[in-house]
Amino acid sequence: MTQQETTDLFNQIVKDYSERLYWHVRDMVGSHDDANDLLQEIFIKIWTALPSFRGDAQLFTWAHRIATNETLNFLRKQKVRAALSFEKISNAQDRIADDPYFNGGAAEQLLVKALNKLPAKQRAVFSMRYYDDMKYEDIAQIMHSSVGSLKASYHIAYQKIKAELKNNTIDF
Amino acid sequence: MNKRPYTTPDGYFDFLQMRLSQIPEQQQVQEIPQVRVSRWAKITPYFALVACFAIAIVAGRFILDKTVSQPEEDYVTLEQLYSADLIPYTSQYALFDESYYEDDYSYEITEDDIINYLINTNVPLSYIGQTLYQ
Repeated sequence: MTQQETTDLFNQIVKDYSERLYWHVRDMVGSHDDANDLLQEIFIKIWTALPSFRGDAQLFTWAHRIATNETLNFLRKQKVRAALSFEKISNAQDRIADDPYFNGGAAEQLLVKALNKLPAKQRAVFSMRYYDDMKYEDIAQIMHSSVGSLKASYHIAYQKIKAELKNNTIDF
Repeated sequence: MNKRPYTTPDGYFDFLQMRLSQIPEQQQVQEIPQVRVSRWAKITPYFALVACFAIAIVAGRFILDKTVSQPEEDYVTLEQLYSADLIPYTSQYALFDESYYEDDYSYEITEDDIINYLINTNVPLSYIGQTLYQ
């Protein structure tokens, strides 16, 4: 792939997928600022890895996989940093209340709070399935997992969220 | 996207696409130009290191030779010391019987005995000649 071809392909990914990838990252990290910063890092990774893209996966699946891995790394680092500095990661509900780019009501606040209680991988599976209506087969390619285990993961996440909302008397 | 309770700043995605499109240019500027290093340039430091060791060894040997060398006569003394244990020991009978050698005429040490002894003890012939026939 020549330099010009790589640049053209990169611009195509930006044009076609940047918005979808933004929402995928935003679902996982919650905050707009974090998602914005992380997206820059993700696209730098995509640009760096693009010459080695062999085309054996769909471009969107490949880009999505990079975005998912980077976001999971970000969440892991955030958790470790908080543990090392003996600080509690700020409560999801507090963050949502302060977020100027959150337009949901009380029910949505509780849903986001319940989502944030899930392990990062479960949250990724749930948001891809629930918000993006992605097929399990596509999610399996992104997460390097089997359809069966993803179905189980989604089901567990669904039950946890349902139980959380039930505690707050909201039907899901 | 309609299920999401999130929004973004106005015109965010246009701004985002513009910003992300600049990544190739930014990354190309940041790339450090690769300097081609020849194989000879890679191994030169090792040669220099070996040369340094060789010079140190030669110089050390030279200094040792100059400072710790011994005069040649000493070697003779050393050779004599090395062969000192070749001197025949006294017969055990002679220790208790003083008359042991009295009847033994062969006990007398002749010049030939001395020469043989010196030759046997590796004393250089030039040294023997100098000592005996001066």
